[in-house]
Amino acid sequence: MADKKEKPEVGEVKKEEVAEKKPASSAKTATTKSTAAKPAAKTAASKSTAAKSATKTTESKSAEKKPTAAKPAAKTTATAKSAAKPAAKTTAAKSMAAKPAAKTTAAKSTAAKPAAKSVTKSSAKKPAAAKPDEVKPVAEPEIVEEIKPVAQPETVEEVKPVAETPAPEAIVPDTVQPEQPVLPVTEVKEEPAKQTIMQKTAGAFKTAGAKTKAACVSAASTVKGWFVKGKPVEATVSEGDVNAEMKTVLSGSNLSTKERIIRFCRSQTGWLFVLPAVVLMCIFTLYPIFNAFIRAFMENYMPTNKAHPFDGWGFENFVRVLKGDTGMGGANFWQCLLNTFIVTIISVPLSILIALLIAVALSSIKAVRKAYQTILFLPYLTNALAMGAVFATFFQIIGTKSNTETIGMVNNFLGWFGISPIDWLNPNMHAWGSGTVKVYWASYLVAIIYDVWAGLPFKILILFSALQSVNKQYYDAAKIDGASRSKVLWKITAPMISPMLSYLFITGIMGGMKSYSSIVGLFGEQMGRDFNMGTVVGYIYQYIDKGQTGYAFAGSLLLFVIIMIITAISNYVSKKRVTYT
Amino acid sequence: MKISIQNLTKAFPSRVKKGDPVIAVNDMNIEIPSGKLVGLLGPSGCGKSTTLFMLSGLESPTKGKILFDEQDVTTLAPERRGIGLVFQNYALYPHMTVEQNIMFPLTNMRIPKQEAKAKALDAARLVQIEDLLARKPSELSGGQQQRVAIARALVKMPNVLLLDEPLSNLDARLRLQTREEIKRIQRETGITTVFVTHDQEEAMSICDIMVVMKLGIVQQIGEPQAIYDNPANLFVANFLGTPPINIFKGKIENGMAYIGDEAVVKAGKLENQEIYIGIRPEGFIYDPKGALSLDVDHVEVMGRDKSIVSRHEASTKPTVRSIIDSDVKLPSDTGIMKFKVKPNKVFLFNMDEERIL
Ligand SMILES: Nc1ncnc2c1ncn2[C@@H]1O[C@H](COP(=O)(O)OP(=O)(O)O)[C@@H](O)[C@H]1O
Ligand SMILES: [Mg+2]
Repeated sequence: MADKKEKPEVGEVKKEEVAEKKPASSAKTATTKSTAAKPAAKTAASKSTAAKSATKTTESKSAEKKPTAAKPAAKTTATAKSAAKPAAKTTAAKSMAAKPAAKTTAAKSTAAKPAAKSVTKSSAKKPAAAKPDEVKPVAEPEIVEEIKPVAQPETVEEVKPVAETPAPEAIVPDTVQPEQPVLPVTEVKEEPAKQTIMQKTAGAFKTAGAKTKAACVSAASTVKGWFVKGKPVEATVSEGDVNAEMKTVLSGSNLSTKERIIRFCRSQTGWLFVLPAVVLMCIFTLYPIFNAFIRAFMENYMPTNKAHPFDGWGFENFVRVLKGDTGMGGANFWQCLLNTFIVTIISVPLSILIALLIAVALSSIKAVRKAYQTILFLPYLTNALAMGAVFATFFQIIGTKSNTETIGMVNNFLGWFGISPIDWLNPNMHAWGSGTVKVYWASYLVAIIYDVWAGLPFKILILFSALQSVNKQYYDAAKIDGASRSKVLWKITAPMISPMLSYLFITGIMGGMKSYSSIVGLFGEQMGRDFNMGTVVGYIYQYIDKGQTGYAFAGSLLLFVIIMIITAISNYVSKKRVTYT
Repeated sequence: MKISIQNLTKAFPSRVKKGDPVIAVNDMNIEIPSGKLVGLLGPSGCGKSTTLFMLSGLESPTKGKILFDEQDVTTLAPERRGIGLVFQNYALYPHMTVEQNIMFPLTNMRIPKQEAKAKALDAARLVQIEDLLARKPSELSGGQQQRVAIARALVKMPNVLLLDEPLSNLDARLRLQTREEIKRIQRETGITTVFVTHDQEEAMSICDIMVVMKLGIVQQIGEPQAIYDNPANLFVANFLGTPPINIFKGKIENGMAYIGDEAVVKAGKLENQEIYIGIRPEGFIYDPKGALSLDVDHVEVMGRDKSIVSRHEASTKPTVRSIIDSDVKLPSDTGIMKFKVKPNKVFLFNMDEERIL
């Protein structure tokens, strides 16, 4: 019953609050609906609660305004300044972490006028409801006997961080007092039972708060910051009882400094575990990157010349790399970039597509799946150079068989269709364009075929396992809906594993832009004729070889930037198309 | 469309080598008249989903036949049976919007896009989700997802609608509301519907015909009230009704059924034998002169009724629960109370087969 009543009521109160911002009204808002008024409830207990609520209210309210109020209102003493002057003197709960007991000093005043109009629940939850100054009439929290605190205050310490959020309803009185005319307060010292309940209730609030708090131990300080600044006011006032709870507790918070330090240390233990990795990364990754970055700007850097290692700082290295004016002949940066880019941008999607088809086929067979999987994975274990050498013999124009003029396998095959032999591995023979930078299509084709082949095993492996994780029910649903096989593949399977596809695409592009050994395997150390099939990494190595490290550093920085740009673009594209489920 | 299930059997091969196959559905025979809502009811694992999947064509029967009207569809592919299926977890495509989900079956039928859109909107209206068309399933509540799933099943105007525990993911209140909704939609469309559930209350409340299953075997077929009033065996009696029926061990002697040595009801011409006596909770009448004495533990007041929780030696359950009108005055203290029973709420089952007598 309590639950049902509670919700709308909260809303109502909220509305009122919003509607009339006058503090005077706020006292009224605290209590709105209720039924049976038990006269007996006009007691010390009820009053003290009312007063206490007021106190709490003040705390949280001030907390909202002044960040400093975050400190526990451990001993905030609120004095309700109404007709009954020192209506209530409340010591709010102290450290919420441990001491649950809400020590409430009951109001002793026997003044004829009520001290405050408020109700346990509403006051605790809607801190903005009442200012102590305006607190006027008494609302006696009408406490029904069945009310049980969520947990006994004693249990606070055992509360686990993951504990479920407390249901505030549980501690809400069944009914709340209606507009209550002036209530004579007389029988002050009676009804100790009520008082106990009050304390329990208060304790429960603390517990609830503690739970909530514990749930965000590590974030606590941050969260507190937010709340204290009073930003998420809507969130607080809205139905989020929990938020309000948290706010109350956080702002009137009660962690001792020592406790905080301990908690902070505990929350930082993670660093210990990653320390080895961090150290190694600093030495072998961060430092070299940093170093390369610096050296790239040293002109004429000569590490062997101790007296005069470099001429000065500047962009000379970059300018020469981009102009192709390194004074050494050899590789041209733009040619290398074009080679790398074309081969990568074609081979990566192609190999993903083929891998997807193979993975789908693989997951639809049961019988010899394991054998196929093994065979398909073999290339992954093979050395790139060895594989390159094998491919090179396939694409030879001059065979090596007993030194007679036999033709490589691919050319042989093409010969059956009357296609004259193509010198695949000699870039200059089949090029488009005439400037310094040309498109060596025949050699690109070889490189692409090689890259697709070499990239397949890993991609099949990844996609195959991704396919296993797709719920079979989607395929059943598609079957019922009459989707064709290709439609299922493109409209259901592919989107379902799109995170993996995008992962493969992005890492594939990154890897492709850094390719080196495959080209060396296919076209030899000179990467075709005088590096005209060179890659960017090949370009970099070449200058390291020649001792011109400045160009190498500049080249690597350029590659770094290019990869960053391409990755950012692919990321942007995939974000639009990838569904994470 | 009329559905006729004949000797339908499904055996799954055993997981262990040389183990017995799992008989999920055993020799099922059901005739489903056109336009009815049929409930397949039974505890979890009794073969309800398997039956449904065989009707849909996703599983192929080991034995037996399925006829839609007079056409044998036993080996027909799912998409050619003209069925709509709502999965237990809805199986909405997460990467498509609600509209795309609903339109999906239509696009497969090569219906022009404009027409498909219009039909999807109609289906969405039917289940009252026309405002949600642009959303993704992950942005919907359980109840809304369920409606989308129904819309997707209905959009192609199937001859048969199959629902696999469509309400099991909803909260109690929504479940109540949605089952009414399903009933309404079924009435409006007149589509023959098979509804799988393990919740007897759900089945009782919306089905025209109920099929009670246990371990792959059909126990009883009939209208819900008829099955409730005349359960074929102890299992059915036990499965239907909340709170469940009370079962006592007893005996028949000289035309009277005894619980302990108290003669509760007449047993007609039945032979003397050991029996189970089932008494529905609402079958008790408080009467100091009654034959049956129960050791009352406590009484729960539920507004309209009172629920008396008591004990009895012969009961097969720890407590006996009886429900009487709240107007009936009961003695204030607990202890032994006497009850009469309503003969039409008492069922006698033989001991060995647990069949009704
Ligand atoms: N693909 C399967 N392979 C083996 N056993 C199955 C398979 N599907 C279901 N079963 C078994 O068949 C029985 C009936 O299952 P099911 O029809 O899903 O029950 P339910 O009535 O809960 O829907 C269960 O014992 C289940 O373990
Ligand atoms: Mg099932």
